[in-house]
Amino acid sequence: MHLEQPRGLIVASSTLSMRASAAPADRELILRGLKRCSLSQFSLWVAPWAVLLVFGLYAAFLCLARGLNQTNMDNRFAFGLWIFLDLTVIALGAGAFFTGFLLYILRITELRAVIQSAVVIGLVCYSGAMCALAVDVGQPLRFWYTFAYPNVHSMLTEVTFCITCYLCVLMIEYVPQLLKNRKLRQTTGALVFEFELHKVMAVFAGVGTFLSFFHQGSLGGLFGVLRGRPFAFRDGFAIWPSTFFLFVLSAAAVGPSFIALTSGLVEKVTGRRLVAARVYDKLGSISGRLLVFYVLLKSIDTLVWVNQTSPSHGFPAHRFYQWSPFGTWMLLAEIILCGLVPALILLRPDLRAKRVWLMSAAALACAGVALNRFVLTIQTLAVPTLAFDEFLSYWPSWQEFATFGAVIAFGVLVYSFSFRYLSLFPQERELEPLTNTREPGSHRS
Amino acid sequence: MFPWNYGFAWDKGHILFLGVFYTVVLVVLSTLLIAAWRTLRDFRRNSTASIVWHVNFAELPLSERTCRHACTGELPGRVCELGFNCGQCATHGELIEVLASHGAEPELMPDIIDDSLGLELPLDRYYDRGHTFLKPEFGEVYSIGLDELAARVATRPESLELPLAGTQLKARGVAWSMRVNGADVHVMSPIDGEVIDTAHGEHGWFLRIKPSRNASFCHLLRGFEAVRWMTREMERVQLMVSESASIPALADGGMPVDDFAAACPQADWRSITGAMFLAN
Repeated sequence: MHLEQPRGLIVASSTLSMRASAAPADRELILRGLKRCSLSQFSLWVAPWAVLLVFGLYAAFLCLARGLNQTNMDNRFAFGLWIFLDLTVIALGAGAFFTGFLLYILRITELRAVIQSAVVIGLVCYSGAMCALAVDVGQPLRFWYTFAYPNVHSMLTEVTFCITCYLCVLMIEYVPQLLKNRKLRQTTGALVFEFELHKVMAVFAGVGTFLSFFHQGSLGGLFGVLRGRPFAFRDGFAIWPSTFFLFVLSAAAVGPSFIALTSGLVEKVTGRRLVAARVYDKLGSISGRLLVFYVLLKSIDTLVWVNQTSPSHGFPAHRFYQWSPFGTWMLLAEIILCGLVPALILLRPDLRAKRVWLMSAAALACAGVALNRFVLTIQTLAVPTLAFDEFLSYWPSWQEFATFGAVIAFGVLVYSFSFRYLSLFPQERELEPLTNTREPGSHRS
Repeated sequence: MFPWNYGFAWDKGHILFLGVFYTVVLVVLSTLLIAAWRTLRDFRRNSTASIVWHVNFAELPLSERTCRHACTGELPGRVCELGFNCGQCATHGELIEVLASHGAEPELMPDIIDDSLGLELPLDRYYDRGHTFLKPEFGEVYSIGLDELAARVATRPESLELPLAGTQLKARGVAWSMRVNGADVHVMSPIDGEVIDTAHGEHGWFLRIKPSRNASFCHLLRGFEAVRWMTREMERVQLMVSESASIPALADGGMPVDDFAAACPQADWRSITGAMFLAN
């Protein structure tokens, strides 16, 4: 009955065993249909980041073993590169909570395409920030003091509590992704637990939103309440200075941009389409609207501070900008270049439909939030506030840079391994599948 | 109230701040415990097979979730959202009613073998989307085996793990496992039932089962719809081979070879095998 005429499937002379040996060694761990580079290529990508991580760990070890004299911080410049890094990555990591909020609470289902990536980014950002803080506090073994002896009047206590809890929530949110790894999912218990965990994920999303709202706000609030630092001090509402609300809003506005930016970068690096254009559009649109609102409030806040808050404390605001390099250009760069400009780009559907515009706007928005955190940590401490004070400059030591680099390397490594062995982008197989997505019948002529 | 907190006082700040904090901790822990308890409950209720299928199905590419009525051309482009559980699908029920009213309801056709694809497709049996067939044998006994297309993809299993006689199978649960083309494949049971006999495929079947009293056959393909589904599957395999091996492998005549993997070793058979058996 069967004629052995291989006109349907072209014959070649290789054997099954030859094919098996050509497959990457870690193929068993990669989900079906996901195209990944060879293990050697992946190792080449990972190696420099691993070296940077090891170097940074050595620097962190020096700081822990010999003390914070390894840094260029002092009693005046108690907040340096690490705190700037913490504030920035926590703001950028807000994409995790905000995407979870939009997906699970507001039911914007398009964001399902990026939620897993957002969780990994959040986990990376928050765990990286915690690691940097552990080095920064100098006595990491006493971390539990803040829970045992809390100063309930301190915003920093609230930040510590919330960040610790939220990191736990992020880890819980990451567990289902891990359990869906090709090997782990073969264990029935793992997959069933993942299923049950997924059903209650809205609770974790809600808790994450609650925690994030307060710690993002309190991070801003702790600068806003510094009466001794009129450059940062702000009036506000009830016990919260205006910086509390601006930090929450800026993090929420930039979070979706950072998700879009990282997704775009991963697409560029891997050469694969991972997220549908409409998802990018949705992220850009959400980010743009929130950014406009943020820029509006930030502008009002700045005007109130310039005309009322600062002068009432005996400091004409313009004096803070007389210290080079912190001129008014920084204020304009933060609000106009990295705030209003990306907001306007992201608000226009025709512009955000073009990848180059979307990515540029997202990058500008992220740079804006980083600049905002830089201004509040570094510029606040640099400008003099007392008559006998001098303008101080601070340049981090190599140990600080190396630890900073280690946090970045840690993030890249965790994300790279997650991308390789987990399914961070559910649309990946649909957008560029190994298998065919066309209706087979359509192939016939 | 919070004896472990140094300096705790019954004032607004302490109660509010620590109260909220511990509430959050309690919510997180209790939610986690609820998920763990439900997992244990699923095991006790023996409902894990359907959950595993549910999770796997949700992650299948759209091309692998095509509705049976899309295969037949009745509802072109329709994608299943119910895990191929046609018994729960209102549209399927309505369509079957319409077809039945015209006497065109798909049904088993004993003694008819379709060979239009170059594959022998006996229509005396049910076919499952996971490429198994369910053939009535004698009395209440049915045999389960790989359909002709799957048999040509999984020609030479490297290992085979069959259930013991007496094992209770769940529809969409694992019927048997095998390693083929470098992939670990869990072949899905097409129906609920008890295993009464096993074989290594030498007689065309791997299991003989006695279906459970309440076993549903609703989701199984039969008659002309099985032929159309198989046509689609055949084309899907050919396209996967073409795309993964970067060579044309579309049939323009002739008969399919017996061992697809040996005929086209450049293709990613590990993925193709996974796609055939609806595994991730």
